[in-house]
Order: sequence, then structure tokens, then C-alpha cells
Amino acid sequence: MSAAPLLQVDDVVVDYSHGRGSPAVDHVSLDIPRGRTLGLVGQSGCGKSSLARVVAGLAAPTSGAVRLGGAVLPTPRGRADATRIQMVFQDPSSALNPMHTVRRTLTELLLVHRRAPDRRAATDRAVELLELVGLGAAVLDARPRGLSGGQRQRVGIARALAVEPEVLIADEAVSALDVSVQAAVLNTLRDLGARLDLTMLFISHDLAVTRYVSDELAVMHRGRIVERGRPDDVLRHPRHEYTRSLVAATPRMDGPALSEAEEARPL
Amino acid sequence: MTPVLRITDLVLETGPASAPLRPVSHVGFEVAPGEAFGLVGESGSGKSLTLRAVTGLLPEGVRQAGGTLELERDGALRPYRFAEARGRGIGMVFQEPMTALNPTMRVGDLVTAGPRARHGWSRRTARSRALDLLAEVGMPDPEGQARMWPHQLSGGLRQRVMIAMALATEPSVLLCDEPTTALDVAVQDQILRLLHRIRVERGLSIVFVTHDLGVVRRLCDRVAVMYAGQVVETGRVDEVFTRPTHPYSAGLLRSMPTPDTPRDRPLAAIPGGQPGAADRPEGCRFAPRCAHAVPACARLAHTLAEVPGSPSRSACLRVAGLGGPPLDRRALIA
Repeated sequence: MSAAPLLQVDDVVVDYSHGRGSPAVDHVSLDIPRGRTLGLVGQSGCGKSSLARVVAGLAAPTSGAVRLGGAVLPTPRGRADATRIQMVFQDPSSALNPMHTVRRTLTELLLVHRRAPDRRAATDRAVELLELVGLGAAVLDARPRGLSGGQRQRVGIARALAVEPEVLIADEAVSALDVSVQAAVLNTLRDLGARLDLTMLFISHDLAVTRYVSDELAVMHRGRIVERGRPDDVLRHPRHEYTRSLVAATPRMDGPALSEAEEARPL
Repeated sequence: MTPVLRITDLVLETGPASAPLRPVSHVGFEVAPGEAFGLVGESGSGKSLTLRAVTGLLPEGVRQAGGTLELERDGALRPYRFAEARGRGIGMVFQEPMTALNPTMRVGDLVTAGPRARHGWSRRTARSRALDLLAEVGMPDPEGQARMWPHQLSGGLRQRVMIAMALATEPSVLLCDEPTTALDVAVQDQILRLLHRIRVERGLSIVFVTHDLGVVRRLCDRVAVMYAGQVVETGRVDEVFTRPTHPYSAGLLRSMPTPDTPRDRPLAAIPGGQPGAADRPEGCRFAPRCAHAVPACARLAHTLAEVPGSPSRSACLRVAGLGGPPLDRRALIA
């Protein structure tokens, strides 16, 4: 990656153990050029969500820094920086007020952050955002419970985009969705990245999904980035032992069934 | 050969009897001895409810309104009583081992609690059986782990304990409901290989409910694909996954990113979503999302029919040649 990085994660440590155990995030450095997507893959407990929270400004690192356009972002974020990095969560219900309609969720956000001068303009912008994520004005008066899982996640993406962030973090954003719905949301995320020149940190446990959306892939294991490279290089020629085990365990539709494969491998 | 388990025309209802909803309607399949059978579908397809009906563990408010459930005994299929089947014949493995394992019992006691009560085993017999079973499911230190509490074990080891508990009743069929979904991919792989080995060594049948096509591909011989409470396609895994005969199965397969999916074009998503039990369309329930639907689809009476040139059975009227302009199944994955 040659372009100057927009987002830089600079030697970040997150240590919940007060020095008594290994840190959840152990001296991680990453950078993402503007308009590109970095995929971060690893199993649960590897530290990827702790890292995401630090990047989003939801938690302070034990040490290290997050930089945007070269300048360090403080935690908690100041008013000017609060909207520059937004996050889409795995469970969109947790990010949406169950009592509020989609209209209220989006328009209040737009008004509070001065992205629209008045309620009418805010509603127009809300409809634009909904169309951007593949929904329409039809869901304006729905509450989260009245939406399908895929629709809820699209509203979650629209909510994150409402404040016009420079960086979008998607933390297991499609993991709870069914396969056929997941594909459509992945298409939307990719499409948005290109149309809005968004810089994205896409976090998932699913190697195949992450490969599909990412320009570059980083593999996280026990708090460390153990491998980083072009997605297809990482999948075809994994260098780190952990990446190799991850690639080997990823089911392939054209791979061997167990009845044909080596059965004698130790359990 | 007589199947070990046969489900015929299973209908499950919820809501008032005067206007019931049917989360599962007319589902049927049979499982051969030693066979691994996959029941695959997205959430809300009715796959887990179907499995729960087989064990008599339907959630409150859901009732069986039709169909027969039979297990093999003495060479013939017979209807069974749930309590009896759970004690022997059927073993169960669930997605979340922590909610299925009694947290107040040590692992060694847990594994054989059921059969010990049933057969009046002595403490010594139960203990030695427990250690054998813990070794069979690949616990690294059976003696040590038998003395532990469930919460002291990792997710993968807990799932092994649950498998050991299920095996303790000497079942002929192991029913697994998303047993690997909550596990990391490497651990998932270990559990799948363990299930495969147990199946081969014991000649056990497995029914595996999952949303994960890759897992079915890896473990199962035959598969039934469920959509909106019905089976839409059934057949051998190698056939269904490479030459699907229903637009929904084909759509699922195409929408799933694999390590080889081209990155320069959009994924083949299926538009819309699966209808809930309250708003299912007349006729083919997939038709509103289907690129191949014709007006006749809205009048289809659900049935699984032979497909010309394929060993699979399909509910698609065009592919099966039941009506409408015939559709070559090869067009589904083009």
C-alpha cells in the first residue's frame, strides 16, 4: 500500500490484566490508506473487538495511539472528532433504540450533529441514507422489531453513515445474518466503500467473508497481528502456523468430505 | 435396509387452534443406519423445531398437529414414546453446552447420570464407563477432567462432554442441533472430525441441523434443504451441492462467499427475505424471491418430485417438470 495512510493504529496495547497476564491487544500497529478496506480476521477472544473499541474511541488503550490523517485522536473523543470514526455492530438491535422509529433514529442524529438544518431536510437526508443502504422511505416509520435482521443491519449502517464518518468499522457486522441476506449486505458495504470513498476496518471470524470485502488482510491471534498481506496471498500461501490452521479449517464447497479426507489426523 | 429414523408429514402448529400458524408443514425424511443426514436452512426455516419434535422437546406453545415419528426397533419402524427414546435410541447434542450441562455436577458424574439411574449402575461401574466415554470423545485427560465442573472447561471440551453424555445411552441416532456454531473454526473442525469418527466406529446415524452449508458438505452423506417450514430439495450431498435442483438451494450456494469467490463482482444475493410463518405466500413459498418463477408457481401444491436426470428430489415445479415451462437444473447455477 503506497498511499499515505488515513487511519493509523500505533503500537496499541489493551491490558485488562494489570500486567498479570498477557494483554488482550499486544502491541498492534496497523494502517489503512484512504478509501481502502482492511480485513481483520481472528477467532473469538483474539482481541479484535477490543482493538475495534479503541479505534472507535469507545475505550482507551493502555498504551499506544490511534491517528487519523496523522493527528492523534484523544480518548474520549472531543466534539470535533466524535463522528469521524463510526462503528457498525454485530447486533444492530444494540445500536438502535427499540422505542424509536427509523425516522426518529436518523433525523435526531442528523439534527444533533448538524448534518441537516431542520426536520424536513433531516427527513429528506434520512431517506437518502436509507436508499444508499438498499432500503427506502418505506421503513421510515418502522421500529427495529418490525424489521428483518438484514433490514436492521442496513439501518445500523445508515445510522453510522449519517454523521459522514471518514472511517467505518464493521465488527462482525454480517455474522448474525443468514447467508442469503449476508451476501446482499456485503455487496452494499463494498458498494458504499467505493461510492463514498470510505475507509473501512472489517472485522470478522470468517476468513472467506473477510477476504471477499478486503483490499488487505490482517490475521490476529492472541492479541497480535501474526500475518498481513493481500487477501489471496494470505489464503493461498499462509506463512504463519495459525493462519495455516485457519485456512485448513475453513470449509470449502469443493473440498473433501470427511469420509474422503484423512481421518487419521489427531483430534 | 430399514431406516433407523423416519419422519413422515410432520406438521407443527402454534397459536390458537382456530387460526394456527404452521412453522413446519409436512416435513418428512428418513435416516439410514450409519448415515449422516444434514437438515440445512436459514433461521426460521423450521429445521430446529423439526429436530425438537423428534425428541419431544418442543418449546412451549408449539404442538405437533400431524405426522408420524418412528424409530427402528427389532428390524421394524415403530412409533416411540419420547421418554423411552431419550433414554436409549436417541442421543442429543445442542448448540450451547453450558445451558445443557448441569453446572452443579462434576463432569464424570454428568456423563453417566442418565444411564446410571436407569440401569442401577454402581458408582464404580458408572465411573469406569464415564472415563471410557471421555476418552472416546478425545478429552486430553479423562481422569482429571472427570473431576472438573463444566464451567472449568473450554467450549470445545464442553461440547465433547455433551457428546459423551449422548453416547452414554448407547443411541442408534445422534441428533445434533448446530453443535459447532458457537465454536471457533479450528475447534469446529475438531468436533466435526470427532463426530465422523464416532459415527464410523459405532455405526451410528447422525442428524445434523445447521445453517452452515460448509459443515454439511464436510460431514453429511445426504441433506434436506428447508425453506419456510418445508423441505424444498433432498438428495446426496455431493449432488445437491454441485448440481442443485431447486432455485433456493442454488441461490444459497451461490450467495456464500468461499475462498475462491471472484472479488471483482457482487455476490449473488437472493433478493428479499424468508417469509415468517404468518406471511407465507400461496403455492411455492420461494416464488416471490425466485428469478425463475412463473404464474403457475403460485398454485403449486408442495411435493418433492423426481427430477429428470438427477438422483435428487425437488419441490420446484419447473425443474421437476410438474408444470410451467420446463427449467433445466443446469440453468440454476449458471
